[in-house]
Amino acid sequence: MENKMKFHWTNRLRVATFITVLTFLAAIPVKAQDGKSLFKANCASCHKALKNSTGPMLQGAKARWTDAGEADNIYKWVKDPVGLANSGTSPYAVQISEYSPTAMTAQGHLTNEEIDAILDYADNVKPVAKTAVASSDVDGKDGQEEGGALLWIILLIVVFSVVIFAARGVRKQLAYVVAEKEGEEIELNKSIKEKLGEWIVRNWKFTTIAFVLLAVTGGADLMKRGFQVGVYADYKPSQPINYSHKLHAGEMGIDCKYCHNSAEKSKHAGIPTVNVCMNCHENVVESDYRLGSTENIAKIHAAAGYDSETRKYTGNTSPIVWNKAHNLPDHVFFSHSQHVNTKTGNIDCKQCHGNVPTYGLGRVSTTEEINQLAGTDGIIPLTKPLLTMGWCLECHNEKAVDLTKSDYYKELHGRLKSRPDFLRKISEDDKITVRELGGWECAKCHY
Amino acid sequence: MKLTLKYIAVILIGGITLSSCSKHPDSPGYEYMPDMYRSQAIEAYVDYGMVGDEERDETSSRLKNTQSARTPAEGSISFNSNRAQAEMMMPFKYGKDDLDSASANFKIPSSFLEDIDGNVKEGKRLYEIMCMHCHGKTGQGDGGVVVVGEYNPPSPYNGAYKERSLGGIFHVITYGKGAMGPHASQLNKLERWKVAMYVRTLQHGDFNLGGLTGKVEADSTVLPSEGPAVDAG
Repeated sequence: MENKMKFHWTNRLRVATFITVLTFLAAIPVKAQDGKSLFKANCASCHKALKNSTGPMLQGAKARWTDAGEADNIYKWVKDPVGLANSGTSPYAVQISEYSPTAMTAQGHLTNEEIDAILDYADNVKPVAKTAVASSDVDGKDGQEEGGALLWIILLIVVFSVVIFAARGVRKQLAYVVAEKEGEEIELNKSIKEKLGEWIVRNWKFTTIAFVLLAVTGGADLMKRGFQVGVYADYKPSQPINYSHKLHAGEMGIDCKYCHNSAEKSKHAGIPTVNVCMNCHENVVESDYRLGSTENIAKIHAAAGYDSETRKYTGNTSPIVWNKAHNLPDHVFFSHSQHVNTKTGNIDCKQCHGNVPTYGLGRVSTTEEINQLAGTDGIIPLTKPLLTMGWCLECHNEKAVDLTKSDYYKELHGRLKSRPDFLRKISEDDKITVRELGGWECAKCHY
Repeated sequence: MKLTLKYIAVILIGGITLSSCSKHPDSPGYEYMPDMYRSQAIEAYVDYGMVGDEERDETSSRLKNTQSARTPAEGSISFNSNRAQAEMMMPFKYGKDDLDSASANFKIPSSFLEDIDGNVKEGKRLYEIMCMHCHGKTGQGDGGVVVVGEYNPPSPYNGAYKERSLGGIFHVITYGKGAMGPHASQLNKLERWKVAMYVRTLQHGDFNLGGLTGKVEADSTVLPSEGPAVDAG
C-alpha cells in the first residue's frame, strides 16, 4: 500500500512526459543519416549507389520508377519484388526483373519512410574522385635490363676496332707513300692469312696481352654462366595480365591458398583457373587501383567469355597463358602438398616464396629477401640460392618434423620407438629433422 | 684500303650477330641436360611456359588441345580409398536455384558430428583461407576485400541469414549467392561441410556442442539419397 502511495503525482508527470517524448520521437520521420546505415544493413550486399553490381545501382532508382509512371510501386517492389512482378499490375517490375536471373530478396521489414531514406541517401551519394597511381607496386625489379651491359661492351669493341683499323689504314697509306717515294717495291699480292700472320708476329706484345685478356674474361664469364645453370633466383618473367599480388594478397589480405588452392592437396600449388578470378571479378569490372587495371580485368573477362555490360557469359573462352616463374627440372620430384599440408610439412609459403604479398607480379625471391623474414612463422634462414639442391638440403637438415599428425609419421614414430638407441641418437638436439628421416637420401627426390 | 673495309664489315656483322644472342627476357636461364629438365610425361603447366620460346606464340587453339590444359570429365570424383568419403564426394544433386530445398532437405552426414571440435577447428582454418577476406574474421562482412576494394559487403552471419541451415550454407558455398561466386572448385565437399560447421558457430556466437547436435538434423546415411545413378566402382 505504501509503495502505491509513493507513486506521487510528480512521478506520474514524469512518466507522462517520458511517454510523450517517446511518441514524439517515433513520429519523427527517418532521417537521411539513417539512410546510410539502413542501406548498409539491408541493400549493400547486392546494390551499390553509383554502380550496377549484383543488383542495379540505386541512384536514380526512384526517378526511374517515377518515369515509368509507377512511383508508388517502388515500395511494393522493395517489400515483395516477386509478388509485384507476378501481380500483373506493374509492367516496370516485370521489366527490371530481367536484370538478373535471381530474384531480389524481399525486404518486407522496411517501412515506406525507411525506403525513402535509403533512396534519398543513394541519390545524394557523390562519386569519390580517385587518382590512379601509375604503378604502385614496383618492387625495384621492373626496370632492370639484363644483357644491356653486354650490348654496350660489344658496341665499344666495334667502335674501338673501327678506330684502330682506320688508324692502321692511314698508317699503311703513309707507308705506301713513303715506299713509293723511296722507290721500293710493294708486295701487294700477299694473302690475308700471310698478312695476318705477319701482323701478329710484328705486334706480338699486343696480341699476347689481348689473348690473355680474352682467355681470362672468357673463362670467367663461362664460369659465371656455369654457376647460373639451374639457378632461378630473382627470375621474373612477363605475364599476360599485370596481376598485383600486393593489392590482392597484401592490401586485401586474400590468403595465398585461396587462389593457389591445390597447394595442400596436389604436387602443384596451382595457377588459379579463371573461374577463381571470376568469383570476384564477375562483380569487379573496373578498377582505378593503377593505370591499366580495368584493361587487365577486361583480359580476365575475355578469357572467361564474360560480357561485363550484360553480366552474362558468352561461352567464347580462351586460355590465359601465364609464364611459369618457379621451374624445377623434371629430374627432381617436388610436391607442394607434402611441404604445405598442415599434417605433414606445415611450412609457411614465405619460407620458399618470400614475402609475395609485397610483390607485383609473381617472381622467384632471393635468399636474402627470405632471410629478412627469418624468425617469423617459423622461417629458417638459409644461405644457398633458391631452388637449388643445396638450398633444399640445407632446409632438410634444419627443419623439425612433427611426428604426431599424419598416419605416415605416426607409423614411422612407432617403428623408431622399436629402435631406442637410434631414436635417442637422432633426438639428441630435441628435434627429429627431415634429414634424420632420410631427407638427404638421393632417391627421396630423384627417381 | 679494300682490306680495311672488309675487316670493318666482318667486325660489324660479327658484332651484330653476337649482340643478337641476348637472352629472351622471359627465358628462365641456362639448363644442364635439357632432356632431364622437361618431362616426357604429361605434367600440369608443362605444355607451355617451360617449353621453348617458339611455342609461346602458338595460337590459343593449339594450347587448348594440350593434354594438361584439359578439364576432367564432368562429374569426375577424386580417388578415395575410404568408401564413405568417396560416396560423400558424389556430384551434388541440388541445382543452382534450389537453395530453398537444399536448406530444408540437405542434411549434414552424421559422421561429421562425431568429431565436432576437430571439424569446426579445421573449418575455421579453411574459413580463414577461403572466406575471411570478404566475410571478416568474425563473419561480420568486414574483410579486407570489402574494406579496401569497396566490394559489396556480405550480410553479417548473425544478421538476416542467422537461421540458414548447414545444407543451405553448403549450397551457397557450392554455387555462390548474389555477389559471392561459387567456391566448389576450391573446396571439396568434405571441406565445404567443415566450413559450414564453422560458419554456424559464427552465426550463433558461442559454439554449443549439445545445442548443435540438438538443432542439426543429421543425415544418418552417408549416401546421397537422390543422387544420380553413378557406379562408384
